[in-house]
Amino acid sequence: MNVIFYISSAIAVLATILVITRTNAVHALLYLVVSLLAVAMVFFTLGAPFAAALEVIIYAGAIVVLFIFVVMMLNQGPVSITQERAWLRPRMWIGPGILSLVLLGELVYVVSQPVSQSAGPPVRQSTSAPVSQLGRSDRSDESDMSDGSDSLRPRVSSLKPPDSNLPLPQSPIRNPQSAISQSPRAVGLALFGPYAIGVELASLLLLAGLVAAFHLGAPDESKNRKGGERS
Amino acid sequence: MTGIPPEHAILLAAILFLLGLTGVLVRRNVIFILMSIEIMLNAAGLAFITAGAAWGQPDGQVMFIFILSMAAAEVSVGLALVLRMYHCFKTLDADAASKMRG
Repeated sequence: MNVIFYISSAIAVLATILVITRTNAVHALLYLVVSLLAVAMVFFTLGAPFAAALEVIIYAGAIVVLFIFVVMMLNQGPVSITQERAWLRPRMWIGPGILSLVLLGELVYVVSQPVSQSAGPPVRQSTSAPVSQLGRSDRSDESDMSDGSDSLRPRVSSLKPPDSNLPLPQSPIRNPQSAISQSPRAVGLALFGPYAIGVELASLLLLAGLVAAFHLGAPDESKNRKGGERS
Repeated sequence: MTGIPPEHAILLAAILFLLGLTGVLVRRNVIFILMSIEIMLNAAGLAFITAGAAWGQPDGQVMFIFILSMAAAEVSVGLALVLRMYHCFKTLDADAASKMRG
């Protein structure tokens, strides 16, 4: 895992240097995708697979696609065809291609590992956690979660099936020894438990971004209206 | 937890952040500036993930999700502004919009 981390970070740094030194936006975006994928691999080696998946889906999947849309929108007309052909010469694919091939090799290596290694310590610790420790964490959870999140606590506990024999990652905030708290389940419980107000604020922020993008991206009506008022 | 010293991951985050900052300071194309801002936000998220992994707590990933949503909102507004700026100035140079009332 250590070697994979260092190779991925080297790829991330190299691709980022190439991003900020390109003169062509499409080439820079190619290297930006490689850099984001490398950072996703770093997340995976750090034991945060959910964050790695989010990085690939949202950063490399959505944000970069937005960038590509804008770059393509800003170059309209018949000139853009020859320009695109000049942008995406086969020679320009070599750099990102080599870096992504190294990342693909790492991914194949990680996936081909046995499950106990690729899934990391969470699985092993969750299955072998002693019952007494779980009971203690349950009790500490009752005392920990009682501060400020009383109204949210019943909702979270009502979501879980009553007969689940999975040890719940209780008290994900103050249980530093439990490696299971890195799992997506723990992230979700923390996200909709103590951080529910943050989720609400993030939804508000996304709504503001949506309204602002719609307003700014609308066709230029204000200029016409102003011109109409002037004339 | 995975044998990777957190200092190295923090160092990687710092290097990525400085590269993004260099991009913001050096480049004058607005799209490149936005890309560099994305790199800087990504580096901040990497620092949060590293801290969360070092202490074995999910808070780092929660903060990364918040950073992610913030970056998505920021890039949508920023790219809409880039489109509007291109329609106004017919260029992507950030210095073309340096005057507040032009």
